[in-house]
Amino acid sequence: MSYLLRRLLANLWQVVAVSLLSFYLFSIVPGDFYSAERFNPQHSANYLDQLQRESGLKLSWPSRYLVWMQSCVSSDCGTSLAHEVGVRQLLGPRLAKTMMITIPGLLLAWILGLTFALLSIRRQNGPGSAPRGRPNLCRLARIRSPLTPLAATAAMVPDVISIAILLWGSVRLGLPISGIWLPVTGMVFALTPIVFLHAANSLEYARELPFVLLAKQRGVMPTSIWLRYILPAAAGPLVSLAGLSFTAAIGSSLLIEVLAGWPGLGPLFLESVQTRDYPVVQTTVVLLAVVLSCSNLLADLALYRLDPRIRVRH
Amino acid sequence: MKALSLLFTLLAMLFLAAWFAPYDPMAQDREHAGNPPSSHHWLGTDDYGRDVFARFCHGGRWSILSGAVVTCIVLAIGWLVGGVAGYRGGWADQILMRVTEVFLVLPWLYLLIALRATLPLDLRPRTAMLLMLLLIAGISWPRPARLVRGLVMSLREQGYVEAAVGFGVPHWKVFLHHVAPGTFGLLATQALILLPGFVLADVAISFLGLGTAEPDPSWGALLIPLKHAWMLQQEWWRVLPALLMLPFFASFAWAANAYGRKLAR
Repeated sequence: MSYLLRRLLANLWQVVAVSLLSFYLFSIVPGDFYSAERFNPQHSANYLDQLQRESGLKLSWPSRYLVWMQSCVSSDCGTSLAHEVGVRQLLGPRLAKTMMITIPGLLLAWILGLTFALLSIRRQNGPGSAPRGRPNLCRLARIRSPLTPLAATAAMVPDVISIAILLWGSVRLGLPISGIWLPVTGMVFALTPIVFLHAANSLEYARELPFVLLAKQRGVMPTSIWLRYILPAAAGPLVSLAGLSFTAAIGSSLLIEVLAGWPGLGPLFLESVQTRDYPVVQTTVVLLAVVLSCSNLLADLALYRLDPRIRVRH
Repeated sequence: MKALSLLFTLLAMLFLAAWFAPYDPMAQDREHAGNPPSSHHWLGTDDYGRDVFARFCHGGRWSILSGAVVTCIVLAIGWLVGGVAGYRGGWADQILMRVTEVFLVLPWLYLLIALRATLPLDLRPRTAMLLMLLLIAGISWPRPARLVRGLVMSLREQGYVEAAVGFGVPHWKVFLHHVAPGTFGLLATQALILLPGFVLADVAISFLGLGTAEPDPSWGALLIPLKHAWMLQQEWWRVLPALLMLPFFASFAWAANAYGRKLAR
């Protein structure tokens, strides 16, 4: 219980700090959404001043922060200056669209990354060291040696380049470039190598732990070793990675959405930055902080459940 | 060694590229706009008739140089903050952990764009780029700082460090002579990992129209035509700069892997 409370407090601190920081930074910026309108002869200075007052841009940043907090509790987290609708109303469907590509992309990346990692680690048991009489279960496992440097290289390829090449390939092959498959595939391309590398490292580390070696020496069946010793020992770092990979997926989604023309949170955020629609930018930043804090909290709680060392320490 | 040689060869080629591409990256030739690759223009020309290869080389030089500058700044801050927090522990460590959590909770690209929004939009291209570099450095130091902190915490427990403290050597001397040298390997590996990351940050920001602006060349601006499917369909050579960037990122990854393996031995 104290662990949960401590994690909750840490996450609350993160969200409050991010929101305060974003409000402060936007308060020191010269100019605002209406600055460009000053050059428009159809709008008088008085009218623009009135608009600025109505949208709260004339208030000090702590007052604006309090007003925004109140509006988040009671209504729509403010009103978008560019779209003239409630920010929550605007962000809700966009966040859903982002999740539509992030969650399947992340799941597929985890399935592929973990499968390849398991196969590559099993390969190390290979013909030389595997128990006699047991066949090498999967021929794919033989690709371990080129797979690791390949994944390390693929992990360094920028998302913007991989999705651009994917888009180019789709166009050249005459595949449809609208729809969900392109951003999801882009997400899988971006995340699978990262999951593979971390999972392979965790499994490799867990395989060399003393109790695993002891179990091998005592003649425990390899399947039991994997299920009862190696996988539970490797689960801790993988659970931590799950929380971090969600952050990475949300980060990748911005570029992928812009390139694939997917109407998610990324293009709206970018447009809001360019038009200086601060209510949308600030709420998006805080929303992401909340979503990612929650995902990290879930990962921490799962880790607490899995790893008895953390339970003992707390 | 092979990976490092490949990396240095590629970088040398990029930096000596003025010999290979004898065109001014900003000189327009409207009569040859949108031309495919030829013996004169190896990667073709863009919509203003500018040589894409010259823009690739000059843009790449800027991106890699700026990436190197940011890497140095980030590693210097990360080393200092992480080293002090790891060695001193206590409140310094607690403050570092709380501050880094704030930076690590948000995806870097969203954070970077949000911070970019706090800068005036009408900056001169090079000023904008310089400010962007400082912003990237400002949000990137927590990760190396945490790594250095962890390493320093384990080095602090080593017998030779405890012996030095026991003999009454001042803490700053213990840190500089006995603890700090142990972190240099980590810094070198981090440099090889961070540098392409910062080049990528520059590419992504310029691609989104918030970094280096026209007419200055940048890798990100060369990728902008890839947003348009019709252009990819009709002008296949637009993807060539993206393909040509791959060996640079790959060679950084190989060099970091090779160096990391060497350190682990």
